[in-house]
Amino acid sequence: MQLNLKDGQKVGHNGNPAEFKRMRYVIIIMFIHIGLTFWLQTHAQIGGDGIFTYTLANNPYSFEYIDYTYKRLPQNNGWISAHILRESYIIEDYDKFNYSSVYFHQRIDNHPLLYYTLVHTVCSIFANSYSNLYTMIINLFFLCAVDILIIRLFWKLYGKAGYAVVPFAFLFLMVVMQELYVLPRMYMALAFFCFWYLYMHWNFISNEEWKKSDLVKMTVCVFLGTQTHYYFYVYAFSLTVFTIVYLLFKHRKNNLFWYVYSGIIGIAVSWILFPWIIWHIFLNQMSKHTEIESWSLKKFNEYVQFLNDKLFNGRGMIAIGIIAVLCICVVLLKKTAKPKTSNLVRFHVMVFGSGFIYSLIIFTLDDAIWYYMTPLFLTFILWFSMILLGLIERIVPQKRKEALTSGTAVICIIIVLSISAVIDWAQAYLKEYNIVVNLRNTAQEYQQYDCIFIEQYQNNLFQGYWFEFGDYDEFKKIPLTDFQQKGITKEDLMGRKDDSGLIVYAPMEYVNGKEYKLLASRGSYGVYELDDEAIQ
Amino acid sequence: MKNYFKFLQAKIYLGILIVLGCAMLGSVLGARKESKESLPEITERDIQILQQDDISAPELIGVLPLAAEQNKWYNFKFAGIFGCLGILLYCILMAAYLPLYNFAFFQAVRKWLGLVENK
Repeated sequence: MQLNLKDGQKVGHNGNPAEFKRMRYVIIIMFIHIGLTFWLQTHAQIGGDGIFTYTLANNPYSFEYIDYTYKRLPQNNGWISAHILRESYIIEDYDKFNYSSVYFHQRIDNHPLLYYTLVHTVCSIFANSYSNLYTMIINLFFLCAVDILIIRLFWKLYGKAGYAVVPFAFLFLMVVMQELYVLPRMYMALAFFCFWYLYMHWNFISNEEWKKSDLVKMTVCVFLGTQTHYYFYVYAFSLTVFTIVYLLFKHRKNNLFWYVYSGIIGIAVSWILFPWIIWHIFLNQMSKHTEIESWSLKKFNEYVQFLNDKLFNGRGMIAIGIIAVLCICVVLLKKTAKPKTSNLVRFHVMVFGSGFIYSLIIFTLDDAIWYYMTPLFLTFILWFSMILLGLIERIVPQKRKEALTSGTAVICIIIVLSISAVIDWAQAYLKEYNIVVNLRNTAQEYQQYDCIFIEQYQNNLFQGYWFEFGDYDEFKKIPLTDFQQKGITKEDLMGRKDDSGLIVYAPMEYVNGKEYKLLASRGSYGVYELDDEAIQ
Repeated sequence: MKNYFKFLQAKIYLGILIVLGCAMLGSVLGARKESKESLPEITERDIQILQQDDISAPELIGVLPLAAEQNKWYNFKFAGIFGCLGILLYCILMAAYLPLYNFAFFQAVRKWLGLVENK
């Protein structure tokens, strides 16, 4: 039975104690989800993306790329104060809540303001310190919001609290979602705003009388979404096209006017706040998407493979098999379908269509970069959950229908996605975390020492060790070619302000000699304590 | 006159659109002006802070430009000016529109847009 919420009516048991009990179970599942995600986030590894996030949000200086600026830093025989590196990613007392610097960094970068503003805010609250959790908290906040929207949406769509466990199964078991939870960038926020935008559209198509508050929420969503990532425009466009066609078809011109009006207001406020979008997108400030590969059979295969990997943990054939089996069951059991409301059917089409169009556009522009596809993931979860529920509802007996439907759907999802896929991912992730945290702990243990970095290549991230180098007292980098020719000499050590101990980050294959004592390693790089008395 | 102010109030949604549209144009023009000018780089304020020991500041103040000092905020200044012009434009347009409100053409436009008449 369709349940349309009326003004002021909240998601709840609607007078049915059984639904109230089921809602409590769903909320418990939500808290388990958030708890497990937080635990995962306490093992987050920041990587290059995270370095850019913290530096763009917190750097008090105007430079964007450290390698170009390095020569301008005050040096004494190549030695600099490591505090300068630390200043670039940690908020200190002088730049707490200083959003002017965030604004400038986003002007010269290619992203809008919201996410970096949030990172700067959290880091300002915890000034003079660094933690991976400062970005993870933001992801967790948006994940909570997504979970709440999922529960509300499934209640609105079906009037059954228990059905919300179905998308939660995806949230627990899709490997790409786990990667999203721990990615220190704006994509969890983008996922939320796109999903919120989609959520609102159920109200828009199922009610002819729109509340002013719904239109205000749409304006706010458009404003915040466009300030999160420019690909919000792409997803919103994909969904808006369907909505406009539907409203025109239904001759709901009044609705159409206010729908377009609300969107324009949201975009106008966004552009007033941050007009640099013109340079980022229309003037292509960073020369992105200049070499777009045209569609071919090879690209199509890559697209299909990408969807299989990300949406089904690589088990897309099993998903097709499950759907086929369910369809056969529906046919064989000759179950007549409970008539779906046309609104639910239209919503199916909008959900599928918006996700599909978005994925085509983004894959055309960016190929298989997974986080650019973020809006697709929750859209897919919603759509596939609705497909499963729709098919299984027709098969299960009437007695205990809700529990059987949602339970069977969850089992299908477990079969498709497999618990072992996410466990294998988590094990590999935790193994890598142990290596990374060992590296981090080494830097903190030896923070009174000076540090030499044998630089193999420049990537504006100190090859991912920026945050470790910021922990030391003084810092110097030596090109690998110089190190290969003559190693570290007494001349290299001159210019330091004192004779602190020395830590060297170097490719292990080029390090030999008893003066190097290995403390930690990651990949090809080792962290060594150098006995400077043995140096000639 | 009373009718005019009531009319302004009734069509406030148009006013919001016009004012925000003008402010948006102003913001873009302000950003365009700022993008054509060179950045301030190291400012007088940076030098003053460098000379005072008791103020907490970045280690390389006076050596590297500070990000916060690079914004001239022309976009907001122009947005404010153009927004005010937008208010004026709205008032003028509504003053011109009010006597023409019941013309068949405008009634047809409102009907086409699906705008509900206020009774």
